Amino acid sequence: MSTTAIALEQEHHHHERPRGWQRWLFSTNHKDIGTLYLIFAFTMLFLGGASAMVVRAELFMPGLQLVDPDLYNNLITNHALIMIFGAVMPAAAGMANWMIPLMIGAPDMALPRMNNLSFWLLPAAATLMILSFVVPFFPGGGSQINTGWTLYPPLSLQVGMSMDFLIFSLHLLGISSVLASINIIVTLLNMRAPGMTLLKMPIFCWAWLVTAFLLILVIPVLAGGITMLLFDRHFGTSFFTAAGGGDPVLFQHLFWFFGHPEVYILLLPAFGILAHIIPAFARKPLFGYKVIVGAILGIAAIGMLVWAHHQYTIGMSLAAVTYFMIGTILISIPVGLIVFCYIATMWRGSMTFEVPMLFAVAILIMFTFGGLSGIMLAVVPADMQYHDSMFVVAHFHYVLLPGALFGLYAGVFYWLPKWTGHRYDERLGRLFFWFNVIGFNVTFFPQHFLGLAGMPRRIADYNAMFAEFNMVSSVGAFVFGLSHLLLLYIVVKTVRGGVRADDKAWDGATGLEWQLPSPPPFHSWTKAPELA
Amino acid sequence: MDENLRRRNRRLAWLLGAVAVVVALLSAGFWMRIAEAIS
Repeated sequence: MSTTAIALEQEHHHHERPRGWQRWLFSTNHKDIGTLYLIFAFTMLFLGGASAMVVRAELFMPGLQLVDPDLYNNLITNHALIMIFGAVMPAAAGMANWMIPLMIGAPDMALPRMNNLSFWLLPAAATLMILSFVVPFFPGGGSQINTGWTLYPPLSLQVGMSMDFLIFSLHLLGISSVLASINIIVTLLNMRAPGMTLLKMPIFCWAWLVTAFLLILVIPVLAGGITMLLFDRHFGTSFFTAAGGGDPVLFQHLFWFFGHPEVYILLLPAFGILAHIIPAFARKPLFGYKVIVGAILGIAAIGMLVWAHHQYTIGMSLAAVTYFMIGTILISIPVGLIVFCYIATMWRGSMTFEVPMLFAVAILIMFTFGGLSGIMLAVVPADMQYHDSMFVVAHFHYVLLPGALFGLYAGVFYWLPKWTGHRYDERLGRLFFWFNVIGFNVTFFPQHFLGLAGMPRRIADYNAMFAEFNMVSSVGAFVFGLSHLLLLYIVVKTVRGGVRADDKAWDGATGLEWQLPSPPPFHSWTKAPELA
Repeated sequence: MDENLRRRNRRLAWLLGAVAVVVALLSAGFWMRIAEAIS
């Protein structure tokens, strides 16, 4: 057989569609890996949600009902880490995997085998994270993790072996994120269709390009910090132990240098999704494309320089806190520009309100509200009062749920017809939207009042004066939590069948992805598309 | 995928990976100094 014939045969085998479990375990196909990410994220959403339900059940009334304080703190730690690293980041990565090659006219991600590795590190990391939660319940398992997701020493130095499970889990999650980011950057920089310059790239791709760079720059800092923590725990170093000449506050700086940009890592992909949904349902081109690109870059740049606004109470110099306060307030400018551009896109548009657009409008209102309480928290003297109160819990849930999670829901409803080839049930979708949004607001709005009245966060019990608002908040949380069963039903129903979706599922949708069939063939864009 | 593109992809991936490793190694020392200066 000639060399050419062998090459052709290998090419043929390479393009065969694998079947059964091998299709998923050894997959190098961006759509299959995207689906795996989304299934994983959905599973973790339910796990993280279940821990939140137990927390809200405990807080339903004063006193200790269901869990002891250690388990309560173990639950809030796990809830945060699972939601951030297990649900939101993998869901956004799943959408990136699915949509980026379709949007830029690439046949697949640039490094398909590395793509497989970045996903399959996740189940291993999730297992370690779940073990960190359950290990203390076994004989000799040590104490529970009661630090919250910030893992501050000296408390994290005193926790039992479950902290080591958590540190290794975070290492694996970090490696997975960095590998996925490298893949996304290389794909976006090297694999765009001819004629698609950077400034013609869809905003979702821009958002992910910036997010991926942020991840590469900040995840290693977290990895450094938790490795130092591990050394302090087991190898006699004193990076963070005051008795050995170390400084526990150093860990806070390391953590928040990762932790604050992490907020934008969660938000930016969802912002990118809105830039596709709003023009599609307003039936108008996106207003201010270049302004949005500039604002995304601005958010990333300023976002990396304001980490210590989470640490106002540690006793920094006046000059330092003033710098962090002004820097933090400055971020509202690029964020405000993006919100302005989205509202201007809607202005005088022929709008219809299908589920993705309902979420988009709700996000703009609720995220802006969360941003405003963020400005309150940025002001140093005010933050001295709000710090570590339920007001902070209300604030970051108003930012992260609308800003990240609802943006991902909007993306799911927007792209579900493309992914599955079926239209979702619009009536059920709207029902989910209303239960979800009302449940969310009933849960978190009262927490502003609780915080301002002095209820601290991360404590299982509270004064009887906080009982009413906590009861309302818990009822809202149960509605919010249960609404996700409806989401699960809608997604499963759509995957299994339904009305056929057109290639271009939405009237006003634009972009290369809508030129492909719904669902796209196993190998999409085998020939680079022509750009209009 | 064309071999040239494959090589370019790999080169950029290694470069970005190296950036991540350097950031991890530098972070400890650098942030220790910053923390001392502003705490």
